Amino acid sequence: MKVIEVKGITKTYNPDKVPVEALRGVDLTIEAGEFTAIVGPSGSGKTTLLNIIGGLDRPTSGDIWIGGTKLNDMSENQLIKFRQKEIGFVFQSYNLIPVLTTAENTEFVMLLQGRSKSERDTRVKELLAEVGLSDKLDKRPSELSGGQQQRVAVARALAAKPKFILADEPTANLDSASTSNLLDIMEKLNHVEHMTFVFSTHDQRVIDRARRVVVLEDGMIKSDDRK
Amino acid sequence: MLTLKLAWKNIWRSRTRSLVVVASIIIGVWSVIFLMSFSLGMGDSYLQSALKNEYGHMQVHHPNYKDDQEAKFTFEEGANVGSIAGVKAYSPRVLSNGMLSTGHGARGVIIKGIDPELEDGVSGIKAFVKEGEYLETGDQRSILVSQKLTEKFKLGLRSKVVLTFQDENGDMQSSAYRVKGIYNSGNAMVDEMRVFVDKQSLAQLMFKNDSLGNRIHEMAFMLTGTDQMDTVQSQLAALFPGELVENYKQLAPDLALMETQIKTSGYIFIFIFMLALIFGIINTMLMAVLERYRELGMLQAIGMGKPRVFSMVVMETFLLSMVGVPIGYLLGYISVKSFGTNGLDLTAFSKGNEMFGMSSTVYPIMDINLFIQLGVAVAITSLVASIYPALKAIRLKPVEAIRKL
Amino acid sequence: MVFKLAWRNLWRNKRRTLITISAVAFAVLWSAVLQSIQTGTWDKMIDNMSRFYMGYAQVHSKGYWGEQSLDLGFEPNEVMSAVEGKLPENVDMVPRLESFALASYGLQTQGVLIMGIDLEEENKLTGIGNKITEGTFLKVATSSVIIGDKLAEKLNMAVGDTLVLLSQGYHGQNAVGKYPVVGLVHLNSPDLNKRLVALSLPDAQNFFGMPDLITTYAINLPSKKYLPQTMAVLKTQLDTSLYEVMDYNDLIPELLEAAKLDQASGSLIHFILFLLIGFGLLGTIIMMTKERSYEFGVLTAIGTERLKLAGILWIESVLLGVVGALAGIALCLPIVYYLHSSPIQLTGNMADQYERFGMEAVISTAFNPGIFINQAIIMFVISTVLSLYPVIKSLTLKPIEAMKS
Repeated sequence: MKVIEVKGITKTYNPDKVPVEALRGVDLTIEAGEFTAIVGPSGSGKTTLLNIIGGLDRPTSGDIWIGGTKLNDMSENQLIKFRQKEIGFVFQSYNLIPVLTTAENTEFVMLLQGRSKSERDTRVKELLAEVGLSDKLDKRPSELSGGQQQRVAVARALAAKPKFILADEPTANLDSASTSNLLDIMEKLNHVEHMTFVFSTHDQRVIDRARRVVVLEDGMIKSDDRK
Repeated sequence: MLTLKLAWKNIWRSRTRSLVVVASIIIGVWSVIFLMSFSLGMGDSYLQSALKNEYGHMQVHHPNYKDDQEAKFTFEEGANVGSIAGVKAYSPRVLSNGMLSTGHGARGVIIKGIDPELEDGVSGIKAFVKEGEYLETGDQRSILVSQKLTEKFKLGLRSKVVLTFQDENGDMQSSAYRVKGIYNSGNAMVDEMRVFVDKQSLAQLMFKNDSLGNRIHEMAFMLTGTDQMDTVQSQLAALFPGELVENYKQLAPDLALMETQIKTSGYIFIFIFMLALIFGIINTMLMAVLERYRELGMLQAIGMGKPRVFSMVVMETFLLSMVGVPIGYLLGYISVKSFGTNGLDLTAFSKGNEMFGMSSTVYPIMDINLFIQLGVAVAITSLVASIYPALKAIRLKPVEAIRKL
Repeated sequence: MVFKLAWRNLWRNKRRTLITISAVAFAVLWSAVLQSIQTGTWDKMIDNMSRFYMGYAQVHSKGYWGEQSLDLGFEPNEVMSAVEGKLPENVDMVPRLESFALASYGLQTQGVLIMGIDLEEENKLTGIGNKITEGTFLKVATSSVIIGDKLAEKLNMAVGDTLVLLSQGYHGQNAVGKYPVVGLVHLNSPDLNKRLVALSLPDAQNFFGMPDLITTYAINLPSKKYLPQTMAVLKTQLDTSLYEVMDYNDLIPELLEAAKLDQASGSLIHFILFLLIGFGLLGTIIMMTKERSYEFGVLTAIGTERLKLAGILWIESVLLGVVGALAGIALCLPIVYYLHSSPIQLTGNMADQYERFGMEAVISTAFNPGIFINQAIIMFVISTVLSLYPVIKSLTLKPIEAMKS
């Protein structure tokens, strides 16, 4: 089943003054259950592609479907709703709302979705157990390590029951132990719950664990290998 | 100089935030100038009206007259008072607390027997005559009454009224007068309580034994300026030995108090507005310091001493605050000037104003001292506001600051 | 959740929030206390004139109020029988015969206000019988008077001395009489204390030569809320071609206007104060918005609807304003309450100055919940208007750009 399908995507910044072609015709399909790393040096268009897949940015031309829904024609507000329901996000850092506790951060998207209190409570406990933070429910982000914060971010992303999780350099600020711990959790989720993961990264440790590696260079796909 | 330049540049790093502070200072300075100019104008209009209509700058009385307003406490109208340097006008008056009776009832009034021409020099009453004519010397049976009284008693020109009062022997005297003129001085409270007749006509009835009639109860003076008040007062004291010579501050201490009170309330305004401003300035500068923790740490690490960092923050605060001052001056100046010629029209509240002896149009008075005080106040405010952020800036430890973030 | 988030965000930067809240609290404190004093002073003055002297309403012969002529006296019985039993309960009709006279003692004379009163009814309205400072209260038809304490001072009189009254009576007849002073009275109105001579109604009717006639019915209401009903009854039951029915708005329009003017100028000052505080608040709100740009980006990226985000930011701003306002109100309550329950009595020149304007020389406050509620509403409105800045920012926010900074 296709989770993500992009066709003939181009993206040009600054079309009037000094045009910068960030993406120059990208076709990519990601199937359910894949564990994919999108890699490439900075300026390769990696972040732009990820933003477009995540519904945060619009392509200059080309089409994009997420779970069979075409995103191109959606309004800004429809996109927000769509992201809330269908996509889980993990960013480089400062993912969490600093004034909310671990549990509240995890709960946040479910609140936005209007889930019931009992459902939220049980799911928060489940999720935080899965990422190994059952003992940190009432801690604020500032009281957690970077790795722990990223695990909360993963739990929050999962809470929405999204079609896939988009992780933008999730390990950029983590040490090796935290990185491998985070990757273990994500791998486990991928295996057990068949959650689809798409990373952007240039961290070799992530690339090593990915089962599909898409290399981007100068706004085009240079290679696409499945292990 | 380097610190100054650095400070100036730093202010404009966060444009919106700085502009909010500058705007608030502009408004503060502007509004104090505007408000104070109007309250000075209002106070002055009241004072001038009270001086003209009630006290003059100075008055001479028999020493006993102040406590016991008996007809017998008079003094001789001296010659040559008009030639004293600094005296603009003077008016000898024969006074009586009497009753005005008309076909429509009676009322207690102060009867002022005046020399019409001299009185006009002091109170400018001639210009307030709305109907009929002003009094002339030798008018035997003519009276000048206020519009307010004519309305109450349905009087018109040539209406007959009777004045009743006590002569110096304690006998009641009644005399009929005809209304020659009707005036309105704009001070309803005073107007309602007084009528004018020729001095001679009143003196004849009041001092029956004394036909010469240069005895008076009061001599009121207007001076060319209040700065000569003391010298004029001592000259008058020499000219009228044994009589009581008082300036308006002694005659009506509460009136003098009002002058100082307007000034005091001005200081309170300034203080309150500055206090309102200081919160905004502290917050802004605190943010400016905290978000530059690293940079300030770096500056200290490369050898910028604490006094220099401290003075840089103080300077930043000072510059930020003073930028708004000239603009506030300008706006204040323009807005006061624009009302300066036509005044602020308070006709909508005219009854209330007149009741308290103020005119319905207020002309603002611009006082250069106010500008200076405000400038100093803002400067002090900024220096006080800068202390806390500046202390924050030097208390940080370079290594910690650099490590932060 | 939205509220919790907003509340916690407020305390992320404790120092800044505290400074901002104190600024708001200070403005509210200042303006609420001043307003309470101002309202208190005017309420008192208006109350002294209406509730405690004139009554909230009066009935006269048509045209009397404009002319104040004794010739417009009327038979109380006619009016009484027309309205008897139709007025709300506890509403009293207080008969008076009022006019002016010349009062003299020895060689001093003074214009005075003569008030012939029904001892019992008058006491219910003005409490005059309880305000005797020396001597005793009047007794009916004993040909004696009580006079204002300041008047006694002016005429050098004491209890037991005899006052000579001279006036014009009914239809122009002479009114002359000698009356022993049995008591001195001190009322709240400085003006009355200087001018009042009160005697029993029959004595006054004799003096003016108009037995059984009165000039005025003052209406004594237990509270102002009965006024509309009472006015309606009076206006329908009385022949309005013969009688005029006036409420205190008609009786003392100048005073109400002066109060309005004073309050208008007070509001201007408060407006500017709030404007300055508003700028401080805006500064804080801008900082709170700018430094959280990344966070807003994340929130939008993970699917927070814009309106929800705007709502959080609105609540944050309003909390800043309203919490500050509540703190200010909490601080001013004891001050206002204290001044309300134990007013400050002024003395010396300050007191003279108050009395010059006919005000009781007392600083007290109105304890009026409306004033405090108003402050909170004003801060709510100001902070809501200021929240437009973050709200508009959040409504046009692009997550990628927000997260870049």
